[in-house]
This record gives sequence, structure tokens and C-alpha cells, in this order.
Amino acid sequence: MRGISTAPFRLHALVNLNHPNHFLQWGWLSISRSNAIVVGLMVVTFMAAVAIPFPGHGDADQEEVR
Amino acid sequence: MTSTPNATNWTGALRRSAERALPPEKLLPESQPSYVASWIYVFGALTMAALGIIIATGFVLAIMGPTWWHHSSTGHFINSMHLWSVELFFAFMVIHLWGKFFMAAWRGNRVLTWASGVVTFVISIATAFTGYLSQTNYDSQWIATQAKDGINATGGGALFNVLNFGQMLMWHITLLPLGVGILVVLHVLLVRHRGVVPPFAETKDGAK
Ligand code: HEM
Repeated sequence: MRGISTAPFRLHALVNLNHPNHFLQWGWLSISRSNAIVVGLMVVTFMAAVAIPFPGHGDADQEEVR
Repeated sequence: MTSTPNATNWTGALRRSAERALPPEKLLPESQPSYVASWIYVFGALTMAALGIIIATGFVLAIMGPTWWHHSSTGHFINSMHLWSVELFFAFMVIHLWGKFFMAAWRGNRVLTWASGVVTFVISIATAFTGYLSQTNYDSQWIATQAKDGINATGGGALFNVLNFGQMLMWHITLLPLGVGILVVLHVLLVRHRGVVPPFAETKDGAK
């Protein structure tokens, strides 16, 4: 097929996004569910980055310089 | 002052002060203290990697133009690469920021490193905002007409008119990325100049 492709529009999104956003509400705090999921994933990534040892440097007491 | 004929020459003075601030072994070190071997120290570099992809895909979008990025599969792909590297850029930057916050990385004369990070963050938000205005679709029209009221409420609307597509595009592809680029270079040079901040345990009671 030449010219303008419609393929990108025929693909389905991984998650059905064709509805109004759902909002979470705690008192004054209001955040969309999608944004809350992203913030949650970032917090998990942060905690993993602090907790998981860096490869090749398992011994935390080592005072050596790389 | 030395007795060389170049003693008052500004290029010589600049070179000498640059060499003092960043001797080659400080600028491009071969090793780092052992406490740097942690995943949290990778997030500054990840932010730079995402920025690199943003700039590279942005160049392609600028070369090919809106008709291409709206109507061809390759254009969609590059446009999506541009957007998703921005999402990763911000996520990496904020995780980097959390890391530096909890280790109070502004200690020991490093306040300019932190401050240059803060300014980069703010300018990055402005860059992303003008990017949404540069999409040339209904989404960008909607964002512009909503944002104009907010910007007008600050009194800045006359200078920074979000309904002026040409102005927003110029800010997005020249002024703001240039600002982010210069600040990132400055930020990383400051890290090299000061050296990585030692953990609390290393500074509290002397050597250990
Ligand atoms: C475009 C965004 C940014 C880039 C590309 C970037 C890049 C980097 C890199 C490569 C490092 C050294 C490696 C590391 O520790 O991760 C670093 C260190 C640092 N960054 Fe950033 N950064 C950015 C934004 C920020 C922000 C928003 C803040 C805080 C508000 C920040 C605060 C710091 C501090 C305080 C250090 C020095 C840590 C030390 O001396 O030990 N940065 N940055």
C-alpha cells in the first residue's frame, strides 16, 4: 500500500483508553488513576534502585576504589 | 601573576582557571569512590540518555515536519519515540532528584549542583508544555485554549502567547532545549568539579 497508512489508527491500545479518566480522591488530594499508577511505579523503581546491589559490588563493607 | 608576556591576556587567564577548576583527571576520571557503586547513581546518566534520544528524534521531526509525523507509520513511530523518551526523561529525573534529596547531595559546597538541577527541572517542564502546543492537532488546540486563561491570569500572556503557534514552536525547538542542554552540561561539570558527595556515615565522625 502506498501513501497514507491507516495502520497506526487500527492498532488497539494495550489498555482501553476510550473512556473518561477515573480519579482517586483523598480529601483535598485528587489524582487520576493513570497518574497514580505512574507515581507508584516510580516509587517502586526508586526503592529497587536503593535496595538491589550493584553487580560486581556485592560486599558493602569493601573500601576499595573501582 | 607570572612574568610571562601573557600574564594579563584573558584567554590565558581563562585557560588557567579552567585547568584549576577541572584538571583532566577530574573531568574524565577512571574511578569513583566505592559508595558510588549503587543503582541510584545511574539515574543521572539515564536522564542524559533519555535526553539524547529526545534530541535525536526531535531533529528527525524537525526535518520531516507535521504532515509526515501525522500521516506516515514511520512518522508516528518517531513521534512516539520522542514522546515516550520525554516520559522516561521525567521519571528518571525525578527518581534522580529523590535520590539526591535523601542523601542531601547539596552538602559540602554543592548547592549550585542542586540549584542547577532545580532550574533544569523547571525549564524541562516549560519545554514539555510548548511541545504539547506544537503537536498541530486538536489536543494542542485544546491545551492552548485552556492554558491561555492561566497564563493571562499571571499577566504574562502578552509576552508569552500560547495561542501563537509560531512563537510556541520556536520556544520548543530552539530556546528551551538550548537552555536545558547548557544547564545539563553545567550540572555535570559541577558534579565533576566538586566530586561525588560522601555518604553521611563517611562525614559524621571523621574518616569512617
Ligand atoms: C536534565 C536533568 C538532569 C540530568 C541530565 C542530571 C544529570 C546528573 C548526573 C549525570 C549526575 C552525576 C551522576 C549521578 O549522581 O546520578 C548528577 C548529579 C547530581 N544531580 Fe542531577 N541531573 C538532572 C537533574 C537534577 C535535578 C532536578 C536535581 C535536583 C533538584 C539534581 C541534583 C543533582 C545533585 C545534587 C547531584 C550531585 C550529587 C553529588 O555531588 O554527589 N539533578 N546529575
